[in-house]
Amino acid sequence: MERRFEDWCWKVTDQVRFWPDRAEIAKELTAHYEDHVKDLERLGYERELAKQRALGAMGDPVEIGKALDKAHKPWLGWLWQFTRGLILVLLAACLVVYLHANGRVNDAGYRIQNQLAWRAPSEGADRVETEQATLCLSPGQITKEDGHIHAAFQLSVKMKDPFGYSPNYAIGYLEITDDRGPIPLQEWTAEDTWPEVGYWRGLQSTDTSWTRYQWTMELVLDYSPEWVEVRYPYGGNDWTLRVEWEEMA
Amino acid sequence: MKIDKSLMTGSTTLLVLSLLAREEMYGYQMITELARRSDHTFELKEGTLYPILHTLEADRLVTVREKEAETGRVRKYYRITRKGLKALEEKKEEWNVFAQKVNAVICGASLA
Amino acid sequence: MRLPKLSRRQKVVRNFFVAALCLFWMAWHHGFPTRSYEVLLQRAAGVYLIEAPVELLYVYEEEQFVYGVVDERLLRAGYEDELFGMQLNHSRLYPEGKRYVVHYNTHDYDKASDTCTLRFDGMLIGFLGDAATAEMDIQLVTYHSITMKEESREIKTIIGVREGNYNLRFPVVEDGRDGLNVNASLVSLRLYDKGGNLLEEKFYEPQDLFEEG
Repeated sequence: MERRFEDWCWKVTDQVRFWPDRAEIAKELTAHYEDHVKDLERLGYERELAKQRALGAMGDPVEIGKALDKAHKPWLGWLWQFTRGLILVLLAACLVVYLHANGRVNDAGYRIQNQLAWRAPSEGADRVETEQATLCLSPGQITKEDGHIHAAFQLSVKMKDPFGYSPNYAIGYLEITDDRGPIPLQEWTAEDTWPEVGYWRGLQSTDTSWTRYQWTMELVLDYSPEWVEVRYPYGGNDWTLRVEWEEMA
Repeated sequence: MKIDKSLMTGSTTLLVLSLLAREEMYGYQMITELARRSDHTFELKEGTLYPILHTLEADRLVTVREKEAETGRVRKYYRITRKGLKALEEKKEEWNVFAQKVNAVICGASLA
Repeated sequence: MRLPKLSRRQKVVRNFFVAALCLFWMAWHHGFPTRSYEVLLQRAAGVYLIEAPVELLYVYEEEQFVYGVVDERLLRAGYEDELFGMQLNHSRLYPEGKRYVVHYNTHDYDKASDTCTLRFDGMLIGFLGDAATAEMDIQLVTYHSITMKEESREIKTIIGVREGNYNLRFPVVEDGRDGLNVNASLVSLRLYDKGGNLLEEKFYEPQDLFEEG
């Protein structure tokens, strides 16, 4: 006969082959035993006697342990632990895949989505078609900031061959003229507003290409221009586009 | 009146399910409730309750949840499931049939 | 918390389901591989936002390209062989009017012995009409390895024979000469019909991409 509950409890859990469950079982049995001891003490039993009585009432530890072992099948327990590990690993893998996929295209749907996000130039835009692209110049905002006039306009380029060359390089070769004369490179800025989209899979984007580009260009002047012409005079593809702003009230 | 233990072993599951049919209880509570309802006839060895409860849970006849009592102790409360209620009905039926047949044999013996 | 606990068996089932979901999501994200060449071509057309039906012409296995037609234009899909099928990794839609594409190789690099020799082969893929044989003139210019001065120049002609409806093969011609300092470029292409009559002749500028036709 066990003198102490702890020994009795240990004898029970020793029968449970799936050891990860032993702690929970011991906790439940201990709670039960302590509840009983408290009850007996309330009835007037003095502590030591209450403990002995409560312990005796628990039953044969080995028999109980064996029955518990039948309810805590090891194969199911280990399978459960395995699946927990499995989904932990897979969820981490999914996270890695998701983060790593930044910039990669994996199906036409994503590309279509980006295509549709294209901001169509307004009706008043000047258009030109070249062999490689459709170009558009449209007027933007004219604002007064820090004593200067900021005149913005948009150059939109839609490449006909998504896998042709990127026109990014052409920005530096543009010639801009307004009603007062040519505007040197230093006096205008171009901000690339189209997010880059790659079309190739794989970890190296060696063949990425873009279909559409939109540059918001801004002149910072001391006067409000009437019109602006953007010209690309090179290699068989030269074109000129003109934009005029509506009268600002 | 103390009942022969061998008569009890088969029906403990039935008793436990009946106890839980109306409210959720934790282990020790079931022991005391069982003793109370049966007028202290049924006083099974308390530890043997837990294998039964754990088996019932694995078979989805009951579910368990932890609740914290005011004393700070965390207890595992067992609650019967729909599957458990169905099993309870079946076992009750089984028990009634069994009792009927036993009675039939006993009474039949004196009825000639 | 009012949520009842699931039994261990139920948790195992749920976990397997979640695991399967994760795997499915990863496969979807990567793009399901396919075993069908038509599906590959359709995806290649999809890159150009074209939904029209595709027609398979020829599979150039050596270079892992699939050639087809969509909207009466030549379409090429490049693929990678993966565990469960092929994965699209390249797509090119050729302009209207382009009837066939020229492939040619001039160098063979042997990784094991780290040598580069001259070795010629090629393929014409597309709509070849009545072409039964073809000739490719390839210009070989040898440079001095240090001074980079041109040492010699020659024209190598290789002959190809119509193999299928949509392809004409230039079988491998081993040359064996060192190819390290040799620049090769396609100069001209001639197509002949069964009777040996010249059907067409094309000339190329040295800086054209090597596989343009």
